[in-house]
Amino acid sequence: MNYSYKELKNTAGWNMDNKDKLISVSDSKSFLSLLRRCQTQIHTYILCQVPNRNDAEDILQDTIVVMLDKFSEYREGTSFLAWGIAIARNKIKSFKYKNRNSKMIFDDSIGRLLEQEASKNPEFFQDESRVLKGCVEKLEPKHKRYLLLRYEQDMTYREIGRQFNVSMQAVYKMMTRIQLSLLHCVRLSLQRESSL
Amino acid sequence: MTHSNNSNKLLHEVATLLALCMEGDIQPEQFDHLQTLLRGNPAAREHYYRLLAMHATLQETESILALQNDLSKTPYDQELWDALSVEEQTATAIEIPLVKQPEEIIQHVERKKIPFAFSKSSRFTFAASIAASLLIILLLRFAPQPIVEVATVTNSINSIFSDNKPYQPGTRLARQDDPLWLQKGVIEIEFDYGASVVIEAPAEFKLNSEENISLLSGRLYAHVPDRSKGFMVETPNSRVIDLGTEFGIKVDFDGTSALHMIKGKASLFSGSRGQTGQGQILTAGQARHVDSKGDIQTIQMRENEFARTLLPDQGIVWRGQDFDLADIVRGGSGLGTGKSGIGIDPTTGNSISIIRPQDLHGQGEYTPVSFSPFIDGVFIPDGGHGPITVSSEGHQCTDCPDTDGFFRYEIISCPQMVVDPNRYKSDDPRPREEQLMLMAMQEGYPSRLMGLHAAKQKPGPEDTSLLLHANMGLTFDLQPLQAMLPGGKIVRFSALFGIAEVCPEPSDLDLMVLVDGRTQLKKQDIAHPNLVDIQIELSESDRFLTLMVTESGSNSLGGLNAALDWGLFLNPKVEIE
Repeated sequence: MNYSYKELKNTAGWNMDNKDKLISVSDSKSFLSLLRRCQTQIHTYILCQVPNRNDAEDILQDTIVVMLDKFSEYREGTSFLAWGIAIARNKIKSFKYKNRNSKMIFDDSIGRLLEQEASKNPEFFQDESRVLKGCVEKLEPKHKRYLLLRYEQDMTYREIGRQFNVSMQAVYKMMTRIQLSLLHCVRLSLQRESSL
Repeated sequence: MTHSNNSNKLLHEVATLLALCMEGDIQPEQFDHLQTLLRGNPAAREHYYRLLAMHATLQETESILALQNDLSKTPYDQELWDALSVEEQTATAIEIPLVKQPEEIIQHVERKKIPFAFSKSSRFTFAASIAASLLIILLLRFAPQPIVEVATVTNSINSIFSDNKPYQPGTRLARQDDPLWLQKGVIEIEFDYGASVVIEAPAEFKLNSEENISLLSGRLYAHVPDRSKGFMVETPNSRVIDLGTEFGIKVDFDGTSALHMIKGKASLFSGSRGQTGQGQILTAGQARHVDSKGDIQTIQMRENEFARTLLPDQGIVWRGQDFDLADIVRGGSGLGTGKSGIGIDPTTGNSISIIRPQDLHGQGEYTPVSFSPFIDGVFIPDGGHGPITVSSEGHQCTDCPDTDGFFRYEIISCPQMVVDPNRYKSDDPRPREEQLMLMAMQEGYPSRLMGLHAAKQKPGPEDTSLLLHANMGLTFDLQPLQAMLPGGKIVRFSALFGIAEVCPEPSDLDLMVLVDGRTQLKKQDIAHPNLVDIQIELSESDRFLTLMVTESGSNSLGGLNAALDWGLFLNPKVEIE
């Protein structure tokens, strides 16, 4: 299947005005570098619809496999991100269909509302990843350790609890605290930047 | 309550609900509440989206956390925490379901404690501040890399590691910073997420997580069940992400790697983590080499290059090859280990090491075999008095031919065929077959036999054969074979059958192959140059495979003719998939 740029733009309604929009593809070697630039956004897109980390990662993995498989069909000059998101959308659709009897599936309206949220600030991801690093650096070592276990080692909260010998409730509390502090820090840093 | 407090409360609520959702711990009523919030409250949506985006950024952007390993140097921002504690105090309590810790130990497994590994920087700090006991306590608490157990040793054959630790089955393995060097033997490791790998010495490897291993050199075979899709093997110049398959990877000492796909499919990326490279999806039967420049080339698939399954009881490894029934007759396991005998006495069921030329008569009784778990029994077939027993479970063959119960020699496994059929002398007045027979007799008959009269291809040292003179029957028990290979399935019996080439030409015979007493193949009057290409499909429920060679009833010479009826199964194999 080939996606025209217009089709993709219409289907995605996503962070389309990203700077990465026009990418020339010379050969298949560029797949990974293209992917690296937009994998976070595709992952976020999937999480908006399927907010369970394991399910989202499975869908992301399947999406990347299809992208790689169909990379020859990707048309130079179109947005790689939008192309990826269109593929992710199909994967999400089949995931939702398979799990249609589950009570823990968002209805489609919420996905659309979150897409609108995403389109409010197209520069968001560049800005965030830039300042987030500084914010992580400011964390206490122990809290950084929590993040490392969660995001580098991909441990679940239960496994982290076992690691630190604390209850799951304590891990939830701690992780929420860390995430909110980072969010707070990112906001503050961006505010400071814009006031300069 | 102020506006800011309300906002903090909402933020905290959304963050907790999202975390519950992400971890899969959320309750239905909490999920409904989250949906209601997102649907009706734009501020909740904004918080939610920001948190998701941050989650994905932390997950996908390696550099953010990767550079944070040296934790002792980083500043600690008290201001940040003060700001947060205000938010936290104003937040509502959200119920986090108490989940019982699952019972992990199903059977007793001896867990090995692995000493804490200190990072370089923390070791330095530790030494420098030895006097400050309070600081030491703090460092001990925070500095060591946490020990995260990710896999268990499940099998091992003669494995020796450079650290001289005994990695017995049951040993738990932790994520490592330094590679393990397997100097000798073979080891099988099962990761906690379900994938298992067999690694063969010499090899150097490092466990990175429950679904990630680095192979720095050596050979590794991975079995990845569907539920563990995404298992990754990293090599110095490539990465393989599995999609529910079996594959082998070989890493040479120069760091180049080769991937052989045995089943299913996987994606192969050249270049190490974080580098740009090529990507390909490989399916079963394909093989690729990644050279030092990161270029991927197609290479010849090698199915039997990797140790796939360990059979510690037999002290051997299975490399994907089929089971050789000739080896089993020699007392082996079908994988070339049979050394003790050269055949079976068809009247006693005992293993024999010397062939005794004898012409005898049997009564058609079924005799169990005890020297090999893979052979059920032997018999001298004679259907003249009704059905005969062909297994220890009492399976009957109802269409066994009527024979005179005569047989000659024993059931003989011929490991190699080294008598060259072309060695006969043209100036010798005797026929070629007679010369060959005499030659074989002189050279230690009959272990140095033999090919088929009519086989187009000359047998080589890899070929094996099983010689059954008329009238003899032999039943294999497939169940213990199947039980040895949890990863493989018996699918077929195959062999090429004909008259052994040492036999004078007028000979002819009948062949029957039965499965659990059911006749699967019956060929009569097989004479030179006829060959029977035997292909019998087998299923997992099939247990007893019977081979029966009888004198051909069509020949008027009767007993004299039967004395020359050498039936030969060339490459008798039970095939595995």
